[in-house]
Amino acid sequence: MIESCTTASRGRSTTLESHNSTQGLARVVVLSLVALSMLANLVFADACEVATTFFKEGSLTETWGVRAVIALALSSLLVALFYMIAKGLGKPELANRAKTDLNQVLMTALILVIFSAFVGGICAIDARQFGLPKSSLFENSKSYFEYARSTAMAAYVETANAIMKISGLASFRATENLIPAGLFVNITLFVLPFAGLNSAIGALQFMMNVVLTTVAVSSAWIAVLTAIESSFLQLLLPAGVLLRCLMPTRELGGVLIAIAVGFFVFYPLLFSISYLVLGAPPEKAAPSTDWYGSIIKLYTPLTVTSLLPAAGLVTLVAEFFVVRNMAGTAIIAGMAAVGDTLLAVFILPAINWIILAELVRGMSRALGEEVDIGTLARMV
Amino acid sequence: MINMNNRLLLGVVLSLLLFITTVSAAACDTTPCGFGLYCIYGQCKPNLFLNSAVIVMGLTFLLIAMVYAIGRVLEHPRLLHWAETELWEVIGTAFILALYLGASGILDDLIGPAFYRTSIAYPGELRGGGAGTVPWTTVNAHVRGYLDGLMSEVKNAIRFTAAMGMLAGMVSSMSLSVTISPQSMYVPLFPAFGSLQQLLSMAMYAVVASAVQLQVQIKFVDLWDGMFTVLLPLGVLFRAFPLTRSAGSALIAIAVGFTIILPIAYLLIEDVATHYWNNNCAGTGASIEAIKPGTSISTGLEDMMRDYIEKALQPKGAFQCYAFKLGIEALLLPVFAYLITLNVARNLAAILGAHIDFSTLVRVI
Repeated sequence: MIESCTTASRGRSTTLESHNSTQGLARVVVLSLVALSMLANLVFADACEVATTFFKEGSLTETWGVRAVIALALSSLLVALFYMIAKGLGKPELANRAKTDLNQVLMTALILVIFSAFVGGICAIDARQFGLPKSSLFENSKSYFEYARSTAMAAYVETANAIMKISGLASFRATENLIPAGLFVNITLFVLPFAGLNSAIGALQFMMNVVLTTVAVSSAWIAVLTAIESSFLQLLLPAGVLLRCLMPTRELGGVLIAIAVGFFVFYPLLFSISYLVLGAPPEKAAPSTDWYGSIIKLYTPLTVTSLLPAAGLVTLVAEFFVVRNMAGTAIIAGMAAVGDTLLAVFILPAINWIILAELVRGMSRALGEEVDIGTLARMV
Repeated sequence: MINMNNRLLLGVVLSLLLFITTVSAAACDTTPCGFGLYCIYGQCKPNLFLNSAVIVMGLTFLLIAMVYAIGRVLEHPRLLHWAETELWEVIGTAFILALYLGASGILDDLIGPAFYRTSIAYPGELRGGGAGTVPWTTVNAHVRGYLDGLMSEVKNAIRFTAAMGMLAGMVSSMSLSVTISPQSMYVPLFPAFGSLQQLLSMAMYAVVASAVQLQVQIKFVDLWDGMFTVLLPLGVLFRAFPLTRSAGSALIAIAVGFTIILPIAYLLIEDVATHYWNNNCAGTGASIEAIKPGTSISTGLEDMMRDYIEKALQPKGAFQCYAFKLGIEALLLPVFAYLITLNVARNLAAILGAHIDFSTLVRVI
């Protein structure tokens, strides 16, 4: 029985050995393929300053690459220490856990290499081939936010123009001496011919409040982009690397890496795509603020004709439809500008956040623990 | 029992057949588009993004096939399982893409005209609103024309409300100052019209809100071309890789929703709206020219205003027309259209393996 067990165990060990060698060979093949693709990216990669700068003169630890390497080295030291303690105490389970952690350090290093090559590949793409005005996708995302902000400012000026114009028209007062009967008796007719336009000012002020909000929000998007570009790789990624290598904090580390990578790469990418969807328009120029000139042009014939008796009233009647069209055009211009702004500042970013939440969820699921940033999107 | 190899082969053959069929169905002016060209608004156009995404998908397919071959050689079960799963995902993406191209191709040639000529909401009736008199071009152009028509109604409503407000304001501000020295008396002539201004102020709020919402809808319609040429290929590209697969599914669902479901939803709501009100508001006498101030001398200003308002408040009068056009047709019905679209997109994304939370977008809308 012992012999049969030995034979059986020898057979099992033979099977196990061949399986292990197959696994090892597969691992080598996969790593070789990955290395080849990395090499290709390194050959053709260009430098996006933040992502691909590994060494900076004057301050060695300022770049994300060096910090990530330091985090990896620190993790390795901790794992090695843990392994030594486990061996010293004679605890094989703890030693196995340390081996697992060491595998994760290697895996995290591989993730960093893949990410670095991926970002290099992204930076190597010339976005002008796809119809965008600038070569870098990161720069094009900035162009989108600048366009959104200029649209919001133009809408603000447009609604302000409308309010000023309508206020000016509404304040016009006509006075007609009906019976100028000497010094002691006088009957005068007062009329504010365009006072009813005040009813539109409330609506215009409501639009202006909405537009002011869009100006603030578009500035906030730019601030978020700047913060992502300057901080996410420098801070979140190295922290995530360190935490992912240790078992108690592995999931949190994976989440941090997913958030750092997801936001750094895909936040600008999605907004570059949005810019392309809009047709890559240039920044909107601020509209003319010559509302005063148009009112003066209107008032001049009224003032001139008022010198003749009752002629002013006749001119007023004729100007009624001119003023109606002027007020209507001002309101319509303000309304059109607000519509453009809402699309660029609220609706397209809302769609992008939906996609970004899904991207970060997928990556965090693979790297650590699934995280849902949908609540963050709602808050933003 | 069908084994894995036969399933793969079956899937590849079915996808090819479907692709060929839908390319044939996606005809532009009875001539199928050539390789690399896609039917967009009745014309065959190249799409750099879509061609790039298809190439990447093809390369991914080849890579996974290579991994599958290596797994077979090495008899590595994990590699084989991974490769089979990924191959099915790529085939699924190709299937979805072929379906979408076919659907978008026949949208302008079959689905759109079917909605245009007959009333789907009221079977047996012909569609109102000039259907059949204006030549059909594409769904996008038709929906854009419908929204532009609504926008011109809104602009007329703004001018009408502004003019009514001006008239009411002018009349209510008229005052007479009688001075018999040293006494003087100030007499407002028509103070009651001041309350009409408040009503008109509320009306202006509603009109402006409709106008802004309509303007956003028009801008969204203008994005359809960009969604087809950019979002869809990006979704296909993302779906080729495991880490970004769910985001790619979400992008494809959004592109399908906003370029196919939303136009059909607009055709439906237009059908419903034109069934209730076939004409524009100009035919209801909703024009300030009808109460030119010059007539006030002979008929009396108050009588004239009262007559006009009574006429405007009658059934099928000016106020009812504008309330329907601005409140229902421009504001409420499109909300239903967008809700239908977002729900379809969310369910489609769930089928494709993504979970989309549209609550932020719904709140913005």
